[in-house]
Amino acid sequence: MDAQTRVAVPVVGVGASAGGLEAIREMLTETNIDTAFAFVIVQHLDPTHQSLLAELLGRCTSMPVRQIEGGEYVRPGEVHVIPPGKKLEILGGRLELTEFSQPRGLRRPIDDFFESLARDQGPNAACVILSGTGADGTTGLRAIKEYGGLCIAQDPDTAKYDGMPVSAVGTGLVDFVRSPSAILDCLRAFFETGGTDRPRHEAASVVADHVDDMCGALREAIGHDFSGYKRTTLVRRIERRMKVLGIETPQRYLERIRGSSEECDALFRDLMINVTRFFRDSEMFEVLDREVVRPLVDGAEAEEEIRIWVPGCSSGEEAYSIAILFADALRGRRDRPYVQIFATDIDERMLATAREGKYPSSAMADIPEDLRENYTIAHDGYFQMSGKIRDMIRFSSHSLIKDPPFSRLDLISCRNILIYFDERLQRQVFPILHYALKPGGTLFLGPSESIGRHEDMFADIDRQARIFRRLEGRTPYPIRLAPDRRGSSSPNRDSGDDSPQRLTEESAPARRLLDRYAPASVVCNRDGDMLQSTGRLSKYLEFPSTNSGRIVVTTVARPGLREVLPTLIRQAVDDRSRTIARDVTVRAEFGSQKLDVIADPLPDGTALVVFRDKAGFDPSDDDDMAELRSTEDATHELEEELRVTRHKLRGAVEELETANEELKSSNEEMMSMNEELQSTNEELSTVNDELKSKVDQVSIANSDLRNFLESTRLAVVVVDSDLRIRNFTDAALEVFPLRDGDRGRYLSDVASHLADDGFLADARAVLAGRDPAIRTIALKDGSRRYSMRVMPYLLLDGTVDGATIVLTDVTEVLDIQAALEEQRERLRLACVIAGIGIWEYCIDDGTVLADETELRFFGMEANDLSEMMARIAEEDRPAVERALRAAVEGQSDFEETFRVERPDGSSISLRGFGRYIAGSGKGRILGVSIDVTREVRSAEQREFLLHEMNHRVKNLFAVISSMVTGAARTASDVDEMARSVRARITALGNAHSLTQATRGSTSVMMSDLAKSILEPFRDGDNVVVKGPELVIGVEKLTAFALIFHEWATNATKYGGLGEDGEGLSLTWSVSQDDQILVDWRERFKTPQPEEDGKVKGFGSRLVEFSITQLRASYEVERTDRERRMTLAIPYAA
Amino acid sequence: MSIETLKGLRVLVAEDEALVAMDITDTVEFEGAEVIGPFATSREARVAVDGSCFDIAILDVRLEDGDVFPVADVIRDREIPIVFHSGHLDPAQISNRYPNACFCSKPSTPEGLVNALLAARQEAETAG
Repeated sequence: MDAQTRVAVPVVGVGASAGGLEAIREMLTETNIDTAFAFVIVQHLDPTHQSLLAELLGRCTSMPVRQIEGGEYVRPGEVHVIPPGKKLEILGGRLELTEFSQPRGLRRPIDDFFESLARDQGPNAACVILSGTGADGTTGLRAIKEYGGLCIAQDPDTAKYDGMPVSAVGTGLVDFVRSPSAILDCLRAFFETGGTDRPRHEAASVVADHVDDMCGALREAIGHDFSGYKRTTLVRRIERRMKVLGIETPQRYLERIRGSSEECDALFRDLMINVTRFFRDSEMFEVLDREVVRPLVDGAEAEEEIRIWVPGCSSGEEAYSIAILFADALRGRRDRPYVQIFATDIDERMLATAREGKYPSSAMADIPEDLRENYTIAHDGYFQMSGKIRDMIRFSSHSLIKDPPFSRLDLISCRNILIYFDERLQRQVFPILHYALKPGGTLFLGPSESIGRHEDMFADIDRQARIFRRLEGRTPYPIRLAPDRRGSSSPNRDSGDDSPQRLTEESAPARRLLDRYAPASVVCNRDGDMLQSTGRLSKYLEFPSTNSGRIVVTTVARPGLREVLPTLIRQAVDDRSRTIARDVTVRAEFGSQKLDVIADPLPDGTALVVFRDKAGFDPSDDDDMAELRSTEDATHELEEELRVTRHKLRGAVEELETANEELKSSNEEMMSMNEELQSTNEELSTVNDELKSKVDQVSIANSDLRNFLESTRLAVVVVDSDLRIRNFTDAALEVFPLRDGDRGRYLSDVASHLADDGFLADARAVLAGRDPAIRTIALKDGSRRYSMRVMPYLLLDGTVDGATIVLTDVTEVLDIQAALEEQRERLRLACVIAGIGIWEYCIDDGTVLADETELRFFGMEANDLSEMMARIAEEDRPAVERALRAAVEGQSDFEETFRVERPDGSSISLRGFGRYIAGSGKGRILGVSIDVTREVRSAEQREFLLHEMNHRVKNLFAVISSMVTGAARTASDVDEMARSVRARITALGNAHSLTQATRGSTSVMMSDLAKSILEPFRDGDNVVVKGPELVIGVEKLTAFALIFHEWATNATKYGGLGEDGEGLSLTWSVSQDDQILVDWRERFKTPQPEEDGKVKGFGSRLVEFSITQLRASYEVERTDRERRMTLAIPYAA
Repeated sequence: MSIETLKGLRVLVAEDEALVAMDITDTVEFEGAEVIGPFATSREARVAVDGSCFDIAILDVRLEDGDVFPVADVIRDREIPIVFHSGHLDPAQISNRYPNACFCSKPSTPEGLVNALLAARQEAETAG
């Protein structure tokens, strides 16, 4: 402990922040002017404002309350209050004010003061943490605790702001948690107990007697052996605990420890106090960085491993500091070596804190400014070490003195641990450290530590900075691995005022006695290491030729003794009772010796082994051979132990290495997973883009489809494989009354407007795999008709997933079709009726296609162009062929009339029309033929008739002309002539108009002729015409007409039709020799005169010539009463 | 004999229509010529041609028993002038066969017939 000026009374540092005033007031209310404490209040204050704290507090206590001015001594029964904006420290009992080095926000006035107080006053200090936010005071509290002071925190439930109290309590180091008003009592209880009257060293020595026992109890409970720790520290800490508990005697405390695991825990906690901070002793860290860290990093290859061990890392600040240095040195290096830091401690709670890596914001001040940003993440009120820093360190539970060390290390930072170890333990630790380091590795110690005697292992690099280099040389593997809990404790202690018992006396007589007269003895520990010896031991032990320093009694013991000693010693030590092995025979070089071996346990855990000869030395026979067998047991046991040890060691090493490997591989896995994730991300990104464009395409396709369906106005209904409606177009609503909600309904449930349900059967058939169905279907009201197609709905792989029903409105089309059909039928009928034949002449192959009418025309059964042509009348054929050719050449339409002679002898006339139609190949002539037979005949007949008429008319004119001329020659009376001519012409005209044209000739019936001529002369029934049917040819007509007319005329003048006439009869008959016999008889009452015979009248000349024309013979008979003329006309003429 | 008149000529007449034949006869006889016939058939005419002498012929084309042309050919070959007297005759057709014949179409006037006769005689004179 530093030199200090003890204040007469305990100094109580009180830290408070928000809500603190109230708590302080409560606390101080209990005090009065006689209170035997000095209070120093450190309140968070606004540095820019004057503080009225002192004044306010002064009202609640009779103690004087003063704002610190700086330099004054702490006085008992007084309250000192920190001024705003100043840092407070206490040195030698004097309160010193300084400036803050940290900027506002990073200041820790309470921690600063508590730490200063702890160092200055040690066990005479106490700290009280009251209401406030943040964590100021927590670190200071640890210092107070470390230095033996008392730690009190306000009960968080009573605090207005519980941040600071909770943080304090969270350290687990708070001795008492009280409400403000109870704090004073607590202080009193602590400081007035434990007998401050008694001299310290006395008290200490009492405790010291029991320290080993307490360590033992602790070891049993916790598993860690603190007997190697500095006695003074141990005693101090134990005493403090006793004070806290109000226990006065060590024995009682020992009982307490043995009985309560809680107390063991609390004591353990107290013993583990190790105040640490980032970059503690920053100038040493600077040297470390320069001399060790950077060279290591620079000299390391990529992928190489740099291994660092920080034993006793506590809450981790030291390890993180080193990590930051390495990380900073690695910055900018592309191919980095792999830095691995192992940070170990036996305090699990501290390790938990360290792993989390969270520290109060105020601790940030310890980290060099330029390093803060990269390696810490600031939060509100605290900060956390960055992930990459945390990843560099592996925090694990590990005891430096108990567990196998790490190995192949480049750097060990073992700071402020060894100060807690006594000499012996330190001597154990250094070889461990030496072993753990690589040759050339570095050891970094705390400012109060040094290599000590171990210059053979370490050399200086920078003594000031406590940086040492591990020297070459093998370290024998330290066997100090006690597998069981019962560690050894060396009786060798260097500590000051304690006086351990010593086994040997240095006086000469005593020595002589021991050497010569007393039985030989050795002092060894439980493992058999020989520590001291008296007397001659050669009989019992065989010392090796080389003196390597350490002698293991159990190994060097001679046969007979060897088997017994280990067990004997162990039993004695363990049972703490004298143990005897009787009648042991040791076989020495030259003989054997019977003896009793007594092991007497000594207080320090060693044993005094006394060899008490029982009989004389018995020289040996040659036969006496040491049997290997006898050594078996001991060796066996040792070997067993060794094996177990090795096994454990191997196991531990393996575990570690495995863990390391696992971590490495999982790290690699992580990295590769990361890579994969990256590339997956890339892929996803690409896929996303593709997807987006696909979605766009689908959108467009969808839109197209919709528009297409709408534009075609197709009624489409899509059903799934259960005939449930999947989708439909608007146009379908004409046929099926569907609504949007009908999707999913069975199609059969929907009442369609269609006339029948055939489509359902079609759909089922199509679903079953049959071909698409097409049919025409009409609405029920018949207003519209549809062509319905049912097709399977195929998926990409060809499976049928439903059916599509497409309805196309074909009403108009069908109507048109029907109309067309009708037209065609009518036309066909018309053709048939009209007798129109239709033919088609194909130019390419020279064939003709004739319909049945055409074939009928030609009297043929089958198409045969050459036959048809043959049947055309010869005279017409050339013209037809010519016209056809002309049509083929496209020069003109085909139009010809021709006669067709049929095999049955009949013939018809056809008029053909044809036109060239271009087509595939040379084209065709499409034509029709009409039966014009009648027309042609008629035409021919007409022609004939006309011709005949023409002839006759001409003839008639000639006759009349002649008649007129003739009459004019002989007429004397023009009027008379005209009248008579006119009459004759009239008669002729009438006669000719009777003619009827029949085939081949013109003729008239005799009866008609006779009646016609005589009609003008009739008067009543005076004319009789009678005769058989007789056809008179036209060539005879004129003649008969003229004859009859003349005779009739004459009859009116001088005959039967005159005044005296009694009638006329005209009869005819056909004679047997085909002569026409005409009989003309006139009767009259009186005889009639004859005409003048000499001069023939014109009329009689006419008659004459007419009779000549008829080639008739003529006779006349006259009587008084009758004139009779007869004609005999040859019929054939 | 004078060409300007028909006096004293012997005229062969072939005509099947009696009244026309009568008329022709009257006309010819009025002119002072003599009529041989009239014959209604070409058969009769042919007999007359073969057995008679005459100076000129008046021939109707269509006779009772067919065309007069066979008879006309004989007459032409005897270089006797012909007058064809017909209602329907294409002179162009006939003139090839009878280059020196004359035509008189029915119905005709007496003057017309006389002129035709005279023309035919003239024709014969110049040709001969």
